[in-house]
Amino acid sequence: MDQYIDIKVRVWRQAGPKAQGHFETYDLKHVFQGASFLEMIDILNEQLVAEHKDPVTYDHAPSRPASCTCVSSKTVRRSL
Amino acid sequence: MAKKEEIMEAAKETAKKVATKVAQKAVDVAEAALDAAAEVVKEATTPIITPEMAKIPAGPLELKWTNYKNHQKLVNPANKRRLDVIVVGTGLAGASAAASLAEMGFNVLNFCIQDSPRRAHSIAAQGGINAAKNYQNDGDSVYRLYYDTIKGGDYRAREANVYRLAEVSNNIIDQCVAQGVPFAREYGGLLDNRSFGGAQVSRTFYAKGQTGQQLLLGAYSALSRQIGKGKVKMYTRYEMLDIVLVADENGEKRARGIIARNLVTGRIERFFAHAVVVGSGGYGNTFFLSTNAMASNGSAAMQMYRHGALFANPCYAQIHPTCIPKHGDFQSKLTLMSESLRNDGRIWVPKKLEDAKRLQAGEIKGRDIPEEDRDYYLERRYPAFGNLVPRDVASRAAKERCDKGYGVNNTGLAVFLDFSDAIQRLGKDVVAQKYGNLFQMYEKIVDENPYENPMMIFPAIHYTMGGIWVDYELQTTVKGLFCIGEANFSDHGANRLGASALMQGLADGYFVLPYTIQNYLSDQIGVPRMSTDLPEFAEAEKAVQDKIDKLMAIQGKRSVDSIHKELGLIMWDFVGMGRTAEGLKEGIKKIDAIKKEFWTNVYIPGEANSLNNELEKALRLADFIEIGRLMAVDALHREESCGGHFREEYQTPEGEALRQDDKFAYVGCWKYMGEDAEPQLIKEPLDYEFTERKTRNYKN
Amino acid sequence: MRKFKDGETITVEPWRSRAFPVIKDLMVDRGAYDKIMQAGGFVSVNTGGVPDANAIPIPKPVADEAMDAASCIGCGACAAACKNGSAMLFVSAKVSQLALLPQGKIEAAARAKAMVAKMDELGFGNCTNTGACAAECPKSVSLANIARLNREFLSAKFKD
Repeated sequence: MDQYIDIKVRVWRQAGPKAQGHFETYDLKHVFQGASFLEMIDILNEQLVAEHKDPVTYDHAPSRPASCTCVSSKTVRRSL
Repeated sequence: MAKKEEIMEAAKETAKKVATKVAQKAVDVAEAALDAAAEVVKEATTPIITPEMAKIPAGPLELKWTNYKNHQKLVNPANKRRLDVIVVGTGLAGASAAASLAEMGFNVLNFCIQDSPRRAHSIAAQGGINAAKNYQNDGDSVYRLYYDTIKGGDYRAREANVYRLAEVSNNIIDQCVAQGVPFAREYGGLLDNRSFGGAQVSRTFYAKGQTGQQLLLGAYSALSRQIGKGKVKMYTRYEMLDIVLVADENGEKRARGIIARNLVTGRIERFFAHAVVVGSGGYGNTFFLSTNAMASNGSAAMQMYRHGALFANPCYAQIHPTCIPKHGDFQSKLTLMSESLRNDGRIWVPKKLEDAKRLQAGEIKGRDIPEEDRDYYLERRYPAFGNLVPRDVASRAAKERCDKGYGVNNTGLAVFLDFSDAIQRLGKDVVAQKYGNLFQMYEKIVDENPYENPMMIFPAIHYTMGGIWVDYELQTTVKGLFCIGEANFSDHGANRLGASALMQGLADGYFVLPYTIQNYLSDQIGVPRMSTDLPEFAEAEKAVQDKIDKLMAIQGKRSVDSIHKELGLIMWDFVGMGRTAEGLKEGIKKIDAIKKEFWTNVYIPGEANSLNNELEKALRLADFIEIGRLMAVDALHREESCGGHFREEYQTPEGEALRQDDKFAYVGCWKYMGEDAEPQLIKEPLDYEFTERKTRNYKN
Repeated sequence: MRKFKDGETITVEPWRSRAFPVIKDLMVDRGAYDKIMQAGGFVSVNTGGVPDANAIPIPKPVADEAMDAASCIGCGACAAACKNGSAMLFVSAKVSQLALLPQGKIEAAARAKAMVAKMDELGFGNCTNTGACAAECPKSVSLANIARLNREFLSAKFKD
């Protein structure tokens, strides 16, 4: 059964091609496990916009859900 | 004496009452007469588009296109390179048009909002592409493909356009094979075919479950070749925000360029061309949740509309019957399961309401329900077509069962698509070969094994048959402004058959526009390249900048998505599968309220002159709100049910769509009359010369 | 999100590859892939005037293999996963698809040369047969395609 989980998302933030980038960690609570990875990023962005912060920019891959788990422009690593 | 006076009084009272009643009745009758007269006046003064205005060639159906090509004007090779053409969009229609026009010698400027032309939404189409090759020798022909398409469109499409589509369908397959598109083949080495909804012949060509991707890659390769040669200037991550019109020597306005925003830098730029072609796709994302990509939008269509192009049949939106059901409120898009699954899958819900309740509670699974307790409702209601009834019929049938309580998941909004019979009949390996990647996709998303348990599906918004009105030459009412692919309205009528969207996009781009645009450009060869310093370009740019500044300044409390989701729910509830006059009026009121909310309370972070996805979404949402309202207005005026437009008040006793051919056999075209003004209706009557309108019967 | 557990930290970063510069946050510029396609990822045929689709039969196994190679979506995972930043899997997928089909065979050698040359010019690294690309590929494009590309390329060079 899909549950709700609380996670931390450590995302690379870089303002522009020549800017220095850095990792920023965000708390994301109550994420539905049935959600796709991209939907999770959307939820994070909703939260950021609500806090008047800059949302995370990413390429919306076209609607091929099979590649959603390996979305263009991202590599995902897990750490606990 | 008193008694006499009393009687007199009573009589006077009665007389007064009767007189009042009679007077009231007279007023009622007069009002009704006035209303009827107003209707007659409205009818008489509703502008009409004639076949001549639509540039439909005369003559027999099967010769119209040939006659057109034989007599049209052409542009000679030396002159072609002096003419610039802008193509907006790189989907099947846009990429094939840009590539073909460049091959012919025109100077092409091609724009797309994605990072690469190959990421247009056409890439997601799964099922297949129709053509009248009759390789299967099962009775197919150009005429039959024409007939199936126009019937499938519920007799609300233009005969000439649909026939032409069927005519060039074979050329499309030839072209794709020549480009190296890896269509599926049979063991003998020849092309394989499968059946699709709405057809009794096997005419669909496919490439595993990714036909859209492969066709798009074919067009993308052709486009890439032209870009490599310098014949197409490619502008990726650019979004068109307005069209520039310049008056000619007769004072007639012509499309002479676009204003586009560089999505990475935020800069607004001006581009000139002798003609503008728009292939920007459909407006399904008005519903927020649809099978479209998140960036798919109707903004280019709205820009054309605001400059005088007509928006035709906006209410014809197709709901695809086989999508993965919604699983939550945060969901941002829906996943389409190819219609080809209906070839071998069987759709059912439980016969018993108690079984449905237990499924909804998660107590049992689909495979636990014995055969005799399954209601294969499509096979039951439509013996001749069974599970292959057209999409609108299948979608409404699913809604009907779920509305009655027979839905099979926790939301009660799902039906089963079962492969156990096919697995038994063909073997698991054959099923895996045909549908493997689709099954894999389903399992990844839903975490259920479709080989062991029936899939769950539910209808969702998928395609829009409505769009910008174009004549036989694919030109809008604005001179020099052409519209191709899903963005235009022409060929599918009120309902699109499966595997014909891909066909229409490539037909328009490869085999129709390259001819018809020459007819327009032939008398433009003397027009020099105009400077983008002209006041018309400056004004257009300023208008775009003002709009962006206005949006950025609002700084309200709500995110763009939150308002978009609200719009989507209103659209699904009031302008969705089953529409009513009351519901549509309510929907229009609610959309008006959303519009106000958006323009006073939207919050867009960041800066306009930088990469700003929230600003991009806001600009698109502003247009979705307008499109949503237009859809509702169109649906309200169309008092009949046909194809993708179902009015509960107009149905047969069996719940099928009831057309009103005597009153509504026309294309409903809407003309922009100004911000916040009601649009004006213009009609293009569809007087059929060659085809008899029958009731769409999929029973026998 | 079923892969993740309660309390986990998920690190998300853009493709790290010299040929894919970061534009902003997670968005990178994959235009290099388009440039490689423009150098040769096509069959040189114009619209119209082509033979009937069934004029040249293609054995089913060949058509299926071409289809597998054609599944590449140009996402860039291969170049990002490769420690050398090589785009061989991407290039070989397109070269293979077209080399396998009779329509593409005619230009197969020239295509291989042109696309590899472009790939090198754009700063992608060399292939050292690590196999990390195929492991990451979301469409399961096979390493066998790289072998085929190498053969095409060598034979083209040999003929020069």
